[in-house]
Amino acid sequence: MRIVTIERFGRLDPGEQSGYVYAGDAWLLRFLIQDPTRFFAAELPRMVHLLDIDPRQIMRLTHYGSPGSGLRQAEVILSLSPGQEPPIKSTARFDPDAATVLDRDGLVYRLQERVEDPGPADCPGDQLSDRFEAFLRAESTAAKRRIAEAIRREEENEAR
Amino acid sequence: MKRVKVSATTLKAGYQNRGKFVYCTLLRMQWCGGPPGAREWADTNFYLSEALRKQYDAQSIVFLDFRPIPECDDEYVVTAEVTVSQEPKLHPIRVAPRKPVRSGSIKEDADGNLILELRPDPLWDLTEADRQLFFRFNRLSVESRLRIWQNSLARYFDAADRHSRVSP
Repeated sequence: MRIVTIERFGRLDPGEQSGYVYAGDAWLLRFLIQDPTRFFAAELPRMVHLLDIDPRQIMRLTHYGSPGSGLRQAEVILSLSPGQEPPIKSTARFDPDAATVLDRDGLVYRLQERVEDPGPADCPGDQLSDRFEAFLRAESTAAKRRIAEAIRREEENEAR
Repeated sequence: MKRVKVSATTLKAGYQNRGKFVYCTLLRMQWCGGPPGAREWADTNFYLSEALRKQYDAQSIVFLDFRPIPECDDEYVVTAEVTVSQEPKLHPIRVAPRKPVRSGSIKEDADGNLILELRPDPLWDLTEADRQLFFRFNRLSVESRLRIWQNSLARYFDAADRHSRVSP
């Protein structure tokens, strides 16, 4: 399937400069995951790195699960673009032999390799981290002491 | 701080479990997020746990979808569906600190104009003890951070305005 993204769809007046049209070949990768936390922290970044794509080439990422069992199935649709901007990251401009971009060099097989867990980030930039930063800027020393105690308890729990 | 608009819908659903058909409520939440990754996964857990509080269980997420918005850089529509055994009571998402947050990056000049100072280190104005606490908090797993949030931190926050409330 071809994925075609059309800028300024239905909005271009005569004489105006046209928007970009990005076209790519869609690849649907489907697989089972063991744990969504691990998938998002380690396996997905590695996939992006290994396939040398820009994360924006992920046209769809869908996880499915069953109640009580969590998310286990994943489907990723990648758009591998024939050269228009911004598609493939780094120096790897489009290879006309695009149909083999994934399977050349055994890249798909390398996705089966176990990935090291990168561990937590100091500044993950998520909502919890943002809230905590705001808390540190707003609250008293006594409040911070209470939260420090809660953190210590959770650290102990995780160490067990 | 990121402003979040979250929408929520509930619908009756059913699934088969060991040959028996089980009925439940499905909560669907949607928001505008970034590219799929660890940050968005943490935020997914944060929004769902805020909306459902004690009824939330990450193992009950049955659908999670990231779809990029055309003509936007790095913006995705994130849709999550979670099953709940009973009709859920939806809670507001607490994002606004109850006390004013001092910002070391924004100053006011003599004429009352706001001046934004850009620093390479966003935490430059925190004390060393606060910085260490910040890093210790972030090194915990999402589950641990959510527990600290629900049990201790959230009491220092309010739902900011209608944009941050879950609208059933």
